[in-house]
Amino acid sequence: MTVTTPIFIICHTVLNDAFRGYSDADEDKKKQQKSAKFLIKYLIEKSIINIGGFIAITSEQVMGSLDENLPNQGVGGYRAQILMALRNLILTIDTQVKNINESVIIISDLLSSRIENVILVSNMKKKIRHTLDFYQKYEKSSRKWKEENIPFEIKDTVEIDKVLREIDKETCDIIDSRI
Amino acid sequence: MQGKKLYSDVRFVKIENLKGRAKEVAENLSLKEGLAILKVSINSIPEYEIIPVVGDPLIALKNLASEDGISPQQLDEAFKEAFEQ
Repeated sequence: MTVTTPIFIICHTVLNDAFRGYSDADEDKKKQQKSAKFLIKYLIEKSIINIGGFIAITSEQVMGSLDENLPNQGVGGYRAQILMALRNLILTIDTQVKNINESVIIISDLLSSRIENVILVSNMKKKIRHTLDFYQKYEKSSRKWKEENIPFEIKDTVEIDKVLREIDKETCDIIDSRI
Repeated sequence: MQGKKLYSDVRFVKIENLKGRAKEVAENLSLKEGLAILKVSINSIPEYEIIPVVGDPLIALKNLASEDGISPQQLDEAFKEAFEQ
């Protein structure tokens, strides 16, 4: 049986957990940080094999927000190398909405209308609530949105870590060997 | 930004997959295989730099920020400002 790699829609919380250090992180947050780092490393490994193919997508609202907050961006044509490298790992789509939370929900919804196995990856505990609120806010019918109606999966990075180790042990072993 | 080199592309690559002039650059550095960061700057013709990645690639990513003069504190602050809402 062939198991297809999911398409991961990357919420800003994943990048935050992968790149920031928290002095006051509890055990659950430490697990999320460790697994967020693992996911970024997985994307690096896949990017060097699948040249030109992306398995992770985020919104311009997420990447652009980071862009705006790094020093000297755009001055004299300068672009931070870390951002260029991240944009080469994660395909960035402009959804034209300002809300950083809604932007990744929109991408997940758009993709799940055409592709199976779309997973919104978020380390925000309330992401499912946000998603239900999003559909409730824009759905004109009186349909009451429930978790099972959401047309894509929502998982945190700890759950994604388990998924990756099940479907792609070879790549995960390479990542573990680099540490 | 004075004196800082401007890159038009920075990406992770597998050295053994490189072709053409980038491959020549790797060979000149005696790099044959493994994970690396390929940097491209363009004046009239693309110029390639290859930085082998040893160990944790996330550290290599953070080192790119350091090269740009972004301190670890500034990087942490940028993520905080961008994403803590």
